[in-house]
Amino acid sequence: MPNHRSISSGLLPLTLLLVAASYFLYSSEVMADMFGWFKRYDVHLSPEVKGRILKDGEPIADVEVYRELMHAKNYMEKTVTDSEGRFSFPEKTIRSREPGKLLGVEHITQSITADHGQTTYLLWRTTTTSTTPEKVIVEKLNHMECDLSDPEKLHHFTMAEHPNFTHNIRGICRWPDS
Amino acid sequence: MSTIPPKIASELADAVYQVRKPDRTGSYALEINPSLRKAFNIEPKKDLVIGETGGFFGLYTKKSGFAVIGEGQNRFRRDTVIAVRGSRTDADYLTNFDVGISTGTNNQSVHSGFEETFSSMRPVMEKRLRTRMDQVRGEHTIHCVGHSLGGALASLIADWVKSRFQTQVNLYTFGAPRVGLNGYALTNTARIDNHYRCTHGADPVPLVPVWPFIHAPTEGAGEYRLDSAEGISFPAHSMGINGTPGYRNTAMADDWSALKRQSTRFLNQPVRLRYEDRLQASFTNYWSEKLNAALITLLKDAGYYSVLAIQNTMSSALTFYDRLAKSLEKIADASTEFAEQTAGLLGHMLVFAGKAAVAVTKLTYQFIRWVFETTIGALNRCVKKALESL
Repeated sequence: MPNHRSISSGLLPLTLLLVAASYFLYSSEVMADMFGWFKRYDVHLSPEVKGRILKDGEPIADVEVYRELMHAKNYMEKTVTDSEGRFSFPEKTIRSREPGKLLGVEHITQSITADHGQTTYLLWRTTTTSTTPEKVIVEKLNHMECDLSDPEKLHHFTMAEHPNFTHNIRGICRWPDS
Repeated sequence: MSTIPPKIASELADAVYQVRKPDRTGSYALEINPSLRKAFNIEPKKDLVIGETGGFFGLYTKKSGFAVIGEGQNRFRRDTVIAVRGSRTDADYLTNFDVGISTGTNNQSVHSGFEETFSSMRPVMEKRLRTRMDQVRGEHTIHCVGHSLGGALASLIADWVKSRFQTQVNLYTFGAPRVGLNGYALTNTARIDNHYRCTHGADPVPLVPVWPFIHAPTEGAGEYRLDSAEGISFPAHSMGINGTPGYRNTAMADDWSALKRQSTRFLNQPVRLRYEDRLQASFTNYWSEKLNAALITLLKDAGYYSVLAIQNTMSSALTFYDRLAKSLEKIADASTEFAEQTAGLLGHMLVFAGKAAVAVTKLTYQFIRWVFETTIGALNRCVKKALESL
C-alpha cells in the first residue's frame, strides 16, 4: 500500500503538468490552424518555358540561356539553344512551409536572359504575386520569339484573372499581339 | 495642390517590393502599369535610396529600408514621389513587447526602430531631393507612399521633408503601424497637407504598437477603411493583387472621394467595462481599439492620464508598461469603484487574448503586468505572421 500511495502522489503533479501542457498545445494549435500557420504551400515560380533565339531573323545555336527565379531564395538554371535556336525550361514549383520569412517574398520575379558574344540580353522579366499559374504568363512563356537585334520593350498584357490590371513584362521578346 | 489617385498610390506602394537584387543584366526589376508610367518616371538604377547596409543583398534580407524616388511627368511634372519599403529588422522591432522609444526629427517621441532605419536613409535622400528642388521651382508636392513598415517610414520621411523643404507634402499609407506617441501624432497631423491612411478591417498591423502609440491624423475622418471585414486575420495585411482582399484591389479607384472614410473611433470617447460583461470581448480590431479607449478612460477617471501620457523621459515601452502596471495597482487600491473598473478592463483583455479561463482575483502589479504582456503578445504574434507572409 505505501508503495502504491507514493506512486500515485508522484503521478499527480506530472498528470497536472501533462494536462496543462496539452491544453496549451491544443489551444495554440487550434489558433494556428484557424490562421493557417502550419500549412505548407505550393509556390508556382514559373510555367514551362519554350522559345527560340534569332539574330536578324536567323536562328542561332549554342546561345546560353538562363532562368532566374527570385522568391524567398534565388533559383538559377541554364540551358543552351539547339541548332534551330530553340531552348526550354521545365515548370518550376517549390514546396514552402511558410509563405516566407523575409519581407517582400510575396513577390516572385522571373528573369530570363541570354548571353551572346559579350552581351547579356534580357529576354523576359516580370514580377508577380501569384503562387499559382497565370494564364497569360503561361501562354507567353510557352511561345517566346526573341530576336537579339530587337530593342528591349515594356509590354503590358491584361491579366486574365484580374482584368483591371496588366502583366508588365520587359524584354526583347515579341509575340503576335505585342 | 495635386494628389495622386488611390490606384496609383497603391501601385507605388506595391512596386517597391519588386526591387531586389539585380538580375544577370545588372538591372533591377521594376516593371509597372502604363498609368503609373505616365505619371512618374521611376528608373530604378539612379533613384534608389539605400539605408545603412549599403549593398543590395543587405537590404533585401537585413537592416535597411529603402525607397525609390520618382520624378513626376505630365500633370504631375511639379511633383516628386517617394515610395518606401520597410525591412526585416523593423518587423522584429515592431513585434517586440519592449518597443524602444526615441526622439524623432520633429523632437517628438517615436518608435526607435523606425527612427533608426529612417536616419540611415536620410543623407542620400536629402541629396537627391535637394537636386530635385533646385530643378522644380515654385509650387511643388512631394508624395510619400508606403505599405506596412514602409508606411511607418513614409510617415517619418513626410514629417522630415516638410520641415526641411518648402513644399507641399502628402502622405499615403497602406496597413501601416503606429509610428509615435501623442506628441508625434499631433505634430504630424498638423504638418502633413493631405493624409491618406488606408486600412483593412481585419489587418492586425495598424493595431500595433498599442497605446501610448497613436495614429495620425488624430482627429476627424482620419482613416480610409477599404473593406468591411472584422476580426483579425493576417492575410488582410497583404498589398498585392492576389491578396485577400489585397490593398491593390480595394484601392482600385481614380478618386479618394470614392473610398469610405472612418473617424477615429473610440480615441476620445469614454469606455468603462464591467467584469461581468467580459465574454463579449473577442479578438477583433474593434475590441483592440475599445480596450485602448477603456485603458485611457480608466487613467483619466483616476487622474493618472496626463502623468503617464506626457512622458518625455520614457525610453521604452517596457518601462512604460512597468509604470502603467504600477499605476493601475495604485488606482485599483484607491477605491472599490476603481478596482471594479480595473478588473473590468483586465477581464476583457484576457478574453481578447484567448485567456477567458483566467479569473481576475488579485489586482497586483505582477498580475496586471502579466495581463498586458499576454494581450500585447497575442496581438504581436498575429502581426508577426502578417509581416512574415508578405
